[in-house]
Amino acid sequence: MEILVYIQIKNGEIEDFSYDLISYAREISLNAKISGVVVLPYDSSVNFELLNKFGADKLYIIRTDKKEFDKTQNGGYITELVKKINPEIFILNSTTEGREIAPIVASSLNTGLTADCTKLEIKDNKLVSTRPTYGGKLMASILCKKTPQMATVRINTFKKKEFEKNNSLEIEETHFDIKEKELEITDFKEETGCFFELENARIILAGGMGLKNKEGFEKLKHLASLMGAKAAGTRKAVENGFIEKKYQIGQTGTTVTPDIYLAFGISGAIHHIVGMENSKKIIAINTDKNAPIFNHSDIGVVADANGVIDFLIEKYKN
Amino acid sequence: MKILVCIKQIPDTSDVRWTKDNNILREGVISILNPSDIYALLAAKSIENADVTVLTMGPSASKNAIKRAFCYVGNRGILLSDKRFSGADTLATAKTLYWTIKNYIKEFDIILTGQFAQDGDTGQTPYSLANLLNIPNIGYVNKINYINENEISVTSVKDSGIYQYKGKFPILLSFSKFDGKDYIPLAKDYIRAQEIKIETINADVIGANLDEIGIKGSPTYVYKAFKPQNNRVCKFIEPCELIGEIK
Ligand SMILES: Cc1cc2nc3c(=O)[nH]c(=O)nc-3n(C[C@H](O)[C@H](O)[C@H](O)COP(=O)(O)OP(=O)(O)OC[C@H]3O[C@@H](n4cnc5c(N)ncnc54)[C@H](O)[C@@H]3O)c2cc1C
Repeated sequence: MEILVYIQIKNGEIEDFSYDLISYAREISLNAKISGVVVLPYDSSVNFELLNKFGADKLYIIRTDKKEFDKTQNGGYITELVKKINPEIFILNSTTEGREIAPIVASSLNTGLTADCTKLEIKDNKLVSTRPTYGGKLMASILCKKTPQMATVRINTFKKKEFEKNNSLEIEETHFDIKEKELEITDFKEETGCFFELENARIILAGGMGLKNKEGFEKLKHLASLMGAKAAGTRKAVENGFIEKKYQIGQTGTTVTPDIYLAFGISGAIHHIVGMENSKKIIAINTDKNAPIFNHSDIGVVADANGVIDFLIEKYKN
Repeated sequence: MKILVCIKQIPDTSDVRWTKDNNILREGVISILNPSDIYALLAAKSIENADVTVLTMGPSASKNAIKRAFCYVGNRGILLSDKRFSGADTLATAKTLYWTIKNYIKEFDIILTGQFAQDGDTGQTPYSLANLLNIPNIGYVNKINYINENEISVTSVKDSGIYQYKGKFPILLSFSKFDGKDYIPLAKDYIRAQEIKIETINADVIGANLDEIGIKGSPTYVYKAFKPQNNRVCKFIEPCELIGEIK
């Protein structure tokens, strides 16, 4: 069995979540051949050595003639590679890039695709992809009748790890002539927002309407900087202009899995919960002891969130 | 300018209830127009001299979604309704839309869609559809910078950054937001919406390959559905004990 993994590159380096996905592929299938695929402009060079350590056996490099290009077009190149090597499974990260490329490949190959999975398993040599649906209220495990069985996987579903290897990374370079769609990028401004900021944070302090106003959030941010943590918020907080949209946690925001997630004045709506429930430790501060957030927390404090923030600021100052 | 807006009627996911044996209660759940489709409708409304068709697939009750869409924009409505379409996954859905556009609608300059449907949240259909039609597409669009007879320029916000794209027609755009003029439908819009006739068509009319639609044409299937587990047990402590927990 061969599992192909899409490798994402930024500024000449492999994205950390691509290592995570390579390791995840290895983890779910110790005996499979784990291959990466990357699309690179003709003149770029990237150090791929670590891929092997994190679980990859092979890497396919597809060279393009262009220097700058719209990544969505990678779909066409990858379709050609997949046709050539016929992997049983092809997985991508659930980044915008992955989510744009995957359906192009799937529809070109007439196969199925499960988006935004939070769990992958191999059962009877088949890929079982599990994802939240219905706004996070229902989990669905999905199978695919055709190959390659495709899935995009949520960031932070699995953390990279080292595997003992007795082979080295085999690299194969290829080139395909495809007709790209006529589309021009006239400008690009790099702004990763909180995409990595929150996703890589060890401690997140999230605020909800219980913080009452923008001042409450300024204090939350101050505390976060004292603790070396990141501040975030609920959708209601974002809608009220207390914190920027890019710091929204939840179904329509970012999914995070920090070691510690502190929820200040957050009610615990399911839309919010799906974005943070896989955090290691969840601590909630709320005045209402019946708030649903406590059902999803390890530690609860029934108190005024603003007061607790003031208290913590004092403590961390020293 | 001929514009086609693809929309979807979905159950209101904030209103999901459970049966005793942990299944989703589907009866009595309110249906709504998928929120990000409204961005596509607002975008269509912002384009001058547009001839706007609204397309959806679903049971006959999906007519309501088209009427709701008409409150924003549109002078032609098409409902794809056929038992043979049911159970379609994203691939079978994209193919059904593809045949409809190719064999029935035929002429269009721009296809507008929402980025995601809130019930499934797969975000795959627009890309698959554009790919089958072999036309360029731009996703995560939140703004039309300008549009003229020859080209369209849009802003697209992805997790890697902010892109400005320029493309020619035909083209497909999917909207994750709409940074432009908002519109709240008025009573007169509801009245106008009731008066437009909706064309209801089936698989034969669009010349679909019957093996590639509905459940039969869907490579993916749900093997198991379950309620998310939550094993946490909350221990209540005093504020002063918090420091010890944040390590
Ligand atoms: C389709 C859809 C998608 C959504 N996506 C998201 C999403 O991605 N992320 C998200 O967060 N939400 C999302 N929502 C919104 C979500 O349903 C909730 O409305 C939202 O999360 C509630 O935010 P909140 O907890 O800040 O506010 P509220 O629900 O108003 O809760 C405020 C809480 O603060 C407590 N409180 C009040 N005063 C104090 C005090 N002095 N000290 C401590 N606690 C206090 C209250 O007891 C209450 O529990 C979505 C909704 C829909 C319909």
